[in-house]
Amino acid sequence: MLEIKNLHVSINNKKILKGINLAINAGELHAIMGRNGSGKSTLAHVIAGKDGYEIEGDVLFNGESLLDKSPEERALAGIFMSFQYPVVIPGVNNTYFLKAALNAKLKANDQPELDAMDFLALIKEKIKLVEMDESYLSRAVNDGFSGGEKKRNEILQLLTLEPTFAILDETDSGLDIDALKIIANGVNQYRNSERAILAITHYQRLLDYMKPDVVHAMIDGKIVKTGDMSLAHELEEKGYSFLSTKDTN
Amino acid sequence: MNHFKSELELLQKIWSDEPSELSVLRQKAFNRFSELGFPTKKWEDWQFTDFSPFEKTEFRMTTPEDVPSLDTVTPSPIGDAVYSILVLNGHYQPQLSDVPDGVKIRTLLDVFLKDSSLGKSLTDENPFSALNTSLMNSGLAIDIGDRVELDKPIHYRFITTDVKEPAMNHPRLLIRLGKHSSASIIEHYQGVHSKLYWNNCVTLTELGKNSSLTHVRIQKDTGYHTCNMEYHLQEDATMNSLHFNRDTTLYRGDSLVRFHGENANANLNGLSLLKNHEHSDSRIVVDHSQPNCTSKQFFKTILNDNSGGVFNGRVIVRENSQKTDSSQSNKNLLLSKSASMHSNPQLEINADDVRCSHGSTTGQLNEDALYYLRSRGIDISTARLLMVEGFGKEVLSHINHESLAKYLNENLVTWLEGLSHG
Repeated sequence: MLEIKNLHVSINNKKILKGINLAINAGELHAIMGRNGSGKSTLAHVIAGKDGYEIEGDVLFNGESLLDKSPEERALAGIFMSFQYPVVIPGVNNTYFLKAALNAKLKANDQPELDAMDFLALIKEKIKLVEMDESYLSRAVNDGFSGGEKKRNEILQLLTLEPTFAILDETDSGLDIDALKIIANGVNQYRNSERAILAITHYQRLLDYMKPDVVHAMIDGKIVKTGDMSLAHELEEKGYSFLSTKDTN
Repeated sequence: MNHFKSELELLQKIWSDEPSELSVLRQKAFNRFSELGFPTKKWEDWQFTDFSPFEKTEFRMTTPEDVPSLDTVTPSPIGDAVYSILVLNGHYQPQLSDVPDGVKIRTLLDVFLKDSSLGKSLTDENPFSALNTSLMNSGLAIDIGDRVELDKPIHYRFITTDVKEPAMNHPRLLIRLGKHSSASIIEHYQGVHSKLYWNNCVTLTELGKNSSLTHVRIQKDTGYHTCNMEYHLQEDATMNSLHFNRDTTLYRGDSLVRFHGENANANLNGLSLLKNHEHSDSRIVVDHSQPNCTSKQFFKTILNDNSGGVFNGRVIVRENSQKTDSSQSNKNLLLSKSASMHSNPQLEINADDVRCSHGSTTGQLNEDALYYLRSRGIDISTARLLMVEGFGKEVLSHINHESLAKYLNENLVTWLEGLSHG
């Protein structure tokens, strides 16, 4: 589904990603673990389409390069990113925003758009899955939400938009154990054999609930080791230093 | 200046039966105006606006001949859920007006004959209010008695249409709300064509003890518009105002809030929408001279093209005005690189037990928010529209009257949809 080929990324001539190769198939959940500053979030944003990067190599989605596409074209093609820091948008109603996003997707797929009533019925079902209060629907996007509520709002969007490929960028950071279970539960509801997930995290905590198929360790812009869940345990136990290679700069 | 002098002489000739006190008042005000002249770049509180068009253009006073055929009057855009007071090209139309019980509408001349102090301009330093006092040709007083609760807003519509250019009016509106009364007043200036004209207004509002007023000023004059607004609050009075401004070529508005008793609250909100070469200059002074009063200012501007905006807000807390609670927020959104905004919120505090805050931001659309919306499949132009609309709607969200809220929101949306992108 997603194929990353020898991806090099720099910001203002500073190299962040130094040759990433990755292939994620439908039905799989891959986790990338790494310390702060290892390039994990940059990888997520390069897939989602944020601008401001100098990019070499390629990112293919279902065989087609994503790199010339706008963020909205990527979203409509089926890519979704749960933000590490969801953005507050004052004055823009959360329900209105979600409805606009879903209808953009339906329209792109030549499906009939939902009216306000139908959408409200749908969103009230979805919001139960992330155990959020309905009052969050009438507030401005992420405005006054706590860290945990923002993350739940991301998963609410994931469950509503039903993309084929989801990137979870540090979705576990700042969550207590109850919130973590709710988030993991939401992600597991989303997961099926036709969808794939790339979860980016510091810790194995979230992975304990989500059971990844493949775990990658990322250090200094490179994937240095790939394995299964046992790699996550090993990283948690020994830290990243046991994998450290000599700096190639 | 000579031109304005001959307009005053003409007016005094036409209205030769005016009481002599009024004639004297006009002359005195004109002398004051002549001394002051129009503001220049050297005037501190006026420096960001070019007032020379007022001097260069030979504006003429409207006369009864300027009243258009009444067939041209369109129904109120706010719908029927209001009491309508209609003024056409500066001339009150009682036959098209609907005055609720407990409310008296009088022309300014009637008011003046009973109480000459009402005709005075309260601000002596402002050439526009001096000129208004000198040339006031369109005056109405809305008197709401004690213990009156109006079920619907009063909609004062001041329409300028099909007038021989360049015309000017100097309307004065007095709003008096009695003790323990509550009312909403929509003061609505509407220009129906794009000819050159100028409305130079004074609106004096007095709120009686324990009264509550919502004052919505919709300013959609297409020509030039200057106005002086004063709000005077007695103890326990609450005033919520909204100044909505769009389509005006050149706008200058001065607002003054004064407290005359304790525990009074004034909330002032404003939204200005500017495009092309439009220019808007708002100055707000909130003068806390009584203890235990609150004031809140929340003003936003959205600027496109080559437009320019000025926000000059000042809160003064005088000695002994303890427990004053005041906030001031000015946020401005620049949609074009050639638009410019001057924002200058000021605080002057002379009491120690007070809570005061102020803040100002001017910037472009948040790129991170734009990316966030786009990453959900919303195209860039829709994402921009959503964000700008959201920015503006925050100011309008306090309006409870359904058809008025709808009218203002539609005005915001249609304005946004009509913008040029470049």
